[in-house]
Amino acid sequence: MTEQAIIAGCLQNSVAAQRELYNRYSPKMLSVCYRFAQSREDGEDMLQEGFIKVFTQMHTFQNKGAFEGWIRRIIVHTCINFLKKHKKFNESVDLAYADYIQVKEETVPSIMQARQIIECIRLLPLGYRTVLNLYALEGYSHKEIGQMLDIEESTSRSQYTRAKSMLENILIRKQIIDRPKTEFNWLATLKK
Amino acid sequence: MYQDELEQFLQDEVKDHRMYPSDKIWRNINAEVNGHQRWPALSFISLFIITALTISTLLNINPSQKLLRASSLKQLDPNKLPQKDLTNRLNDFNATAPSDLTANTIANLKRKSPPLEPEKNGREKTPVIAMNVINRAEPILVLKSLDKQPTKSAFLDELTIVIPLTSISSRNLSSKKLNFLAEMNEQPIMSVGSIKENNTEHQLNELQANRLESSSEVSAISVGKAEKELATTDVFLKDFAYVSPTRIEKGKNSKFGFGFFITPSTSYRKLTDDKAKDILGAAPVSAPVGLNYTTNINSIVRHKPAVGIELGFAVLYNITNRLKFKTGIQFNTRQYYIETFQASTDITTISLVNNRGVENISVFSPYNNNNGYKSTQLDNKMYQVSIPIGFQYDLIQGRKLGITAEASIQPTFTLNKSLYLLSTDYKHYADGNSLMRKWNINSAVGINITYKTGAYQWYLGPQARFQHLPTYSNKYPITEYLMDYGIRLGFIKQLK
Repeated sequence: MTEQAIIAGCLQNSVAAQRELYNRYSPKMLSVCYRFAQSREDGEDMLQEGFIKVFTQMHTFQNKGAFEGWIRRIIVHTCINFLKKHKKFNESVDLAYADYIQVKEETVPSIMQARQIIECIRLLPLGYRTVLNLYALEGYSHKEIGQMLDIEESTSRSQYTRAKSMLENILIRKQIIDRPKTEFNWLATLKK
Repeated sequence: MYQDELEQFLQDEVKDHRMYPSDKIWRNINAEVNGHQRWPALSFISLFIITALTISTLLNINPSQKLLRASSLKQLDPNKLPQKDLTNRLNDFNATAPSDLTANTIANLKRKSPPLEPEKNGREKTPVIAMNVINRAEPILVLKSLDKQPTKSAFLDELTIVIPLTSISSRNLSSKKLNFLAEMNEQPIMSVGSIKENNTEHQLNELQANRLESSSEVSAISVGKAEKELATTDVFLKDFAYVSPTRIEKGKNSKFGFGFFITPSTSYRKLTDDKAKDILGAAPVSAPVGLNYTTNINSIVRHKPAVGIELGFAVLYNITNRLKFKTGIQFNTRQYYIETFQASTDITTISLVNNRGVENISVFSPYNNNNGYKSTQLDNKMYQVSIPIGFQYDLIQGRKLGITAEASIQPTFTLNKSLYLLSTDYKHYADGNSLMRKWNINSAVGINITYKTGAYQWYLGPQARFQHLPTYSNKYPITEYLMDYGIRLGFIKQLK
């Protein structure tokens, strides 16, 4: 079933088309939600809210970009709204706090590397994690992030820098990456 | 550079990561976007039960109200009321008293009655018997009629039942019992088994006279002292339990009764595709003719019966002694499972036959009848309300046990929409709600074993229920008929 057929079906409120769209995109979108969420349950709630918006706002999709990208933007905005609504941002995003994060081997499930990295990202304080997710993984600019999170653009930049530094330390401690010998070739030393 | 590489690394590793949500998420989304299509069965059943209990409570007549109360004893004076009224009151008592009346039964009924107050001046000409029905070994009190002696009211408390002796006169009392009563009449307070011997000849004669006046069936009295001493309350009470029920109760019972029933059942279906074969099989090539039209359609589909239930409230009207008209309201849940495969969503065709010919509708379907990436089970479930209209016939009427047969026609309205139908190419299952027939006609037959307990008649037996119109519209060329088989348990209460 083509993407166009799915879109056409969803516009006609076809349950089968909606189900197909959901089956196709929900796994990726749940991973996105999970990176933003405090728990899997929160992630599923975000996913649910996001897909309801997708189906109810389907008529606003104008075929001007990637359909998946359109869904992804809706999901990301839903995640941010969810965090705001549940006052998740009240948590401290102080770097000093971040330095005390306990990274234990058992806190990261030893399954796939992608999942390990996601779990490492989720160890970050919420503010850092959100900015890192939005900038590094979702491609939003600091200006857009500032508008989305109601913070200054400079705050977004500084939080991102700290988040990235902290994540690197976590990844090294978890032996997912090695400490780079030089600044330019650390990626080559990634553990396979 | 280093920073950019970290971002690239994260994107490469993480961005395409997938996690699989639980099925509950889709159900919630579907319900939110497309509405709650499932009928809130639990709420409906709860409402039904509450309504049924309320109705049964309102219709239930408290039998204890039929018993004679002390407040009515004055009216039993034959000088004030004609004998006919007394007889009617007795009939009321007999009609409501079960044939196996026991002291406990009386006690239970008596608890609902107000405390008794005897006639203070002792002027009644109708003797009454009062007995403490809780402490059965304790005194049986006879309120004498003509002796002018004030009765000891201390014994007429709320645990005492009072029965006029005139009522006893209509029964076949043995001479020994009558003699026993005479003794008690003389001993307002006495312990059964230790009867005192201070009765006077005058009082005995008075009571004898009363007894003989009111009943010609009473034979001679003989006083057997040893037997008197051995008499017990239970033996005495047996004399209140032998009224022929047919002569008195017949005219008193209402012709109406009501009842409730529950029928766990399993649903089966039968498909016929004669119409599809006749019309679509002869249609032009463009028509989406199924590939298996030579095969019996029932062998193409795989369905599994599932448990449903029928809950009902019934009203009965006695046409004759054996034949009853029966109607009411009934809530049905019927369902069956379809075994199929989850597959990638495909477009399938449903051909509809109407006056203009064959009309093809393309619909999306993620369920393939032949193959897929995993097997799945579809639940075709219907919630229905029907009004059974039929008859019940008592094949065998025993004193306790019996056998009845019943049959009914049931106009039925389907409340929900949660059905999958087979596409007319037999390859997929698709949403069939838009083609579902809301009104249908069912019929039911059953045979029951009945058992009487007090005022209630319980019944249990096999039931079969058939759907006479296809589940879907006549446009859909594959017809589906449903059959339910179950066991019905219920009760009927005859109104007084």
